[in-house]
Amino acid sequence: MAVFELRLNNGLRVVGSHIGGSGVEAIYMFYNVGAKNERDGIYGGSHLVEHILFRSIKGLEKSIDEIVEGVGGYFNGFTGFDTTAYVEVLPVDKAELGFMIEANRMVNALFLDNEFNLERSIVLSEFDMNENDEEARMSLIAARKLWDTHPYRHMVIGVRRDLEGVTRDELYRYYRQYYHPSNAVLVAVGGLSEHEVEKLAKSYFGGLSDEGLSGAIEPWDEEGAGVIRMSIKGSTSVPRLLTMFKAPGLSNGQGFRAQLLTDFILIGDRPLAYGLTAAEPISVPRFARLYRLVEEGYATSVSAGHDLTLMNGPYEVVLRGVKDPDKAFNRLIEVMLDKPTDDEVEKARLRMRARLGSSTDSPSKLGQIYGMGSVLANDPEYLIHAVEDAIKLGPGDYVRHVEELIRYAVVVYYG
Amino acid sequence: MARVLKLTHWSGSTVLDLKLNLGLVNEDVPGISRVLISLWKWSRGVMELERSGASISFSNSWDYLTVSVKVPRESTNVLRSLWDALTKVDLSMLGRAINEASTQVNLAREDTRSRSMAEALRGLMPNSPYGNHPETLLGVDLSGVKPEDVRKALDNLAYYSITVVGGDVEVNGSPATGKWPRPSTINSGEVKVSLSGKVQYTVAIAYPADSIYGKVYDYMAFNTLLGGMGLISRLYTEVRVKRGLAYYAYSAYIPLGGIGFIVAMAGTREKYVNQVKEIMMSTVASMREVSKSDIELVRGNQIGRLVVRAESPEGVAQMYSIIPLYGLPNDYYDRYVKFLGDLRPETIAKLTDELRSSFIAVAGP
Repeated sequence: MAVFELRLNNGLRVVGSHIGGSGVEAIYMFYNVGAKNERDGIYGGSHLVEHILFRSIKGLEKSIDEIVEGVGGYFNGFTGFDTTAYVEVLPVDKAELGFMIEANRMVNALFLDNEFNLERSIVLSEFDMNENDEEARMSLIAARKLWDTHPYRHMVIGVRRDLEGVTRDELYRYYRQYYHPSNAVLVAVGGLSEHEVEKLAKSYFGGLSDEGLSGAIEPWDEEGAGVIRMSIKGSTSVPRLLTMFKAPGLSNGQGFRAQLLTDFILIGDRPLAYGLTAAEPISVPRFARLYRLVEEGYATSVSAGHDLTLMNGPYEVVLRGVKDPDKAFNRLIEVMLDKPTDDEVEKARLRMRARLGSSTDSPSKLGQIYGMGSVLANDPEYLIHAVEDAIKLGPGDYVRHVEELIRYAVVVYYG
Repeated sequence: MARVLKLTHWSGSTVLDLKLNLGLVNEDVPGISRVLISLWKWSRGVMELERSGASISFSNSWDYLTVSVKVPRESTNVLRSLWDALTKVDLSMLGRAINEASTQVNLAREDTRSRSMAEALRGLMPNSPYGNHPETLLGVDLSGVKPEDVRKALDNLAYYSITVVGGDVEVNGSPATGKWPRPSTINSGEVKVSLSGKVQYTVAIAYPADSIYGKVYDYMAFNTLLGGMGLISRLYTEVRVKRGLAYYAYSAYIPLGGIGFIVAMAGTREKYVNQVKEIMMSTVASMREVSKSDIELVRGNQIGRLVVRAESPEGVAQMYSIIPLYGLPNDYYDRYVKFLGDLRPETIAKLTDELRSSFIAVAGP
C-alpha cells in the first residue's frame, strides 16, 4: 500500500493511502498528547478532554454523533499513554464530513460548564467500570508500584481525586496548549485519492493558525526496584496472578523489535491495530510458550499483552485459576527465560508475516498503524518495518531481551 | 437449508466463516460446545493451521457455533485440513479443556454485564435454551462433560453455512438443516444478583422480539433508534448524554431462528440504579412517539452502516453469513435498503406495544 505524506504551512502533517477497491474512508486525527503529558492534579485529564471534545463545538451545526451516525459512520476517540486520537470511518462519498469535524474539533470546542460536569460524571462512571474488572484494578495497582513518579504510573484512566477536582478552565488550557496543527497528524486511508485528500486537508485545515506546545517529550524511565510482590484479598472462583514488566516502547527501536519477537514466542500473536467496525479472528495458539504453565497445571488459562507506547510501558502476563502464586510466578520466569528452539522461532516468524497482512486489510486498521508510527516514531510505516525487522531476529536476541525484561516486575495476586 | 456463499474483498486476506450445528438450542449435553472450543484450541490440527499463519476464533451462540478463520490469500490451501482439525481431537486433553472453559464461564458469571444479561434472559424464557447465555451458561457444570459426549458431538458435527470472503476455499464436512425451537413460555419479572468485589451495577432489561423469519427489518430499525445508534440513540441520550448517569447505555436486537430479543443495558452506581431503571423503561415507552426526522436518521444510519461494515473482510463475512445460515434471500440487504426507503414512523411506533413482556436483572455489589 503506497503511503503519501505532505505538510501544510501551519505544520499539520497529513498521511494517507489510497485503496482503489474501498468504499470507505477512515479519517484519524492523532495528537501528540496523552498520559505522558499529565501532572499532579490533572491525571486522567487527557482522557476527560477527549470526552468533552464530543460535546458542543462551534461551527458544527449538529453534534458529532448526529453527523456521523446519520450517515452510518463509525466514530470514536482513544486516549493512550502518549497520544489521543479521534476517528471517523465513513462511506467514501461522505468522507468530507470527517475533515470538517476534525478541523472544528481542533480549535472550536466550547467546554460548556454543564457539559464539562456531565462528562466528568461519565468518566468517573468509566473509572467505576474499570474498578468492576478485577484485572483492570490489578493493573492499576501494579503500575503504581512499578513506577514512582513516571506519568505512566496512573495508566490512562488517571486518579479519581484529580478527576473529581480538576476544573473546566484547567482542562480548557490543556486543550488550547496541545490541540493545534503542528502537534497533530491527520491520517486518511481508503477510497479517496491522494489529490482529494490534499484538497480537503488544505481546504479545512490550511487556514488554521498554529499556536501552542509540542507534546513531544524526551523518553525517560526510573530505575526499578527488582521484583515486588503484592496480594489482594477477594472472593472469586478464579484466583489470578498478574505480573507487570516494563516493555520497551517505540523510542527504543532495537528493544521494541525484540519485544515483538517475544510477544510471538510467548503468546503467539500481537495485533498491531484493531478492527473498529468488525471483530477480527484472533488466535492465541496453544503452542505458544506461556501455555506451558497451563499444561503443567500452574494455571487454567493465560494471556499477555501490552499497548504501544513511546517509553518503557506496562507489559502484563495474567495467569487465571492459580493455586500457588509463588510457584506459578517462579515457573513463569523459568518458562520465559528458556532459549527458544529454531522451531519456535520459525513458528513466530510465520505468524508475524500473517499478522502483517491481517493488520493492513482495512482502512481503519491501516490508519491506526500510520498514525501511531507518525506521532511516536516520525514514520507512518514504522510498525510495519519493525515487524519485518523482528522477523530477522533469532533465539539469542530473545534471551537477551527477556533477561532485561524480568529485572523489574510487580506481581499482584488476587484471590 | 445449508448453503455456501462466496464474496470478494479488495484486501490480501481471506476470511472463512463456518456456522456449526452446536448452538445452545441443539446441544445434546449442555455446555458441550464451550468445552469443544477449548479442546479444538488444544488439538494438533488447529495448532498446525495456526502454525501456518491462520488466525482462528471460535464462539458459541444460541443457534450455532462460529468458526472464523483468517489467512493470507496465498495460503488458502491450508484450510483444506480444517474439517479434519475439527473432527479429530485428542481426548486426553479433555480435563484441561474443561478447566479452561470453566475458568472463562466463571469469569463471565462474575462480570456484571454478562451476568445481568444472562439473568434477564433466564427470567424471560425460563424453560428454553434461548433463556441461557452462551458465555455464562447459568446452571451448567462443565465438569460433567465426558469423552463419550465429545465423541457423539463430533460424530454428529455438521455445518449450517459456509461464507468465504476474498478467496476460494473448499471445506469438507456434511451440511445440516437448522431446527430452531420456539420458547414455550415468556415471563415478566425482576431479579437482583449480588457479586463480590464490585463497585458498579449493570441493569439489563430483556424483551422478546421477532425471530429472523419475522418482522426483522422493523425491529432492526426500532433498535437503531432505541439504543443501537451510539450516542444519538434514545437510551444513550437519556441515560448518558443528558444526565451523565452511566458510561454505557445501549440496546441490542438479536434475531435468532426460534425467537429474537431486545436487551437494553446500562452500568451505574448503586444510588442511581432505580433512576436508571426508570429512565430505561420510560425510554422504551417513548418509542410510541417517532418523528419523521427520527426516520431520516435511522435511514441514513442503516444504509451507510452497510457500507462501513464492509471495510474489512471479516466485516463482510459477519454481515453476510446470516444469509446462508438462515436461508435468507441473496438480496437480503437490498431489500432492507428498500424497506428503509419506505419506512414510516408508525412502523416503529407500533412495535412498542408488542414489547408487553420484559424481565429486568440488576447485577452488582
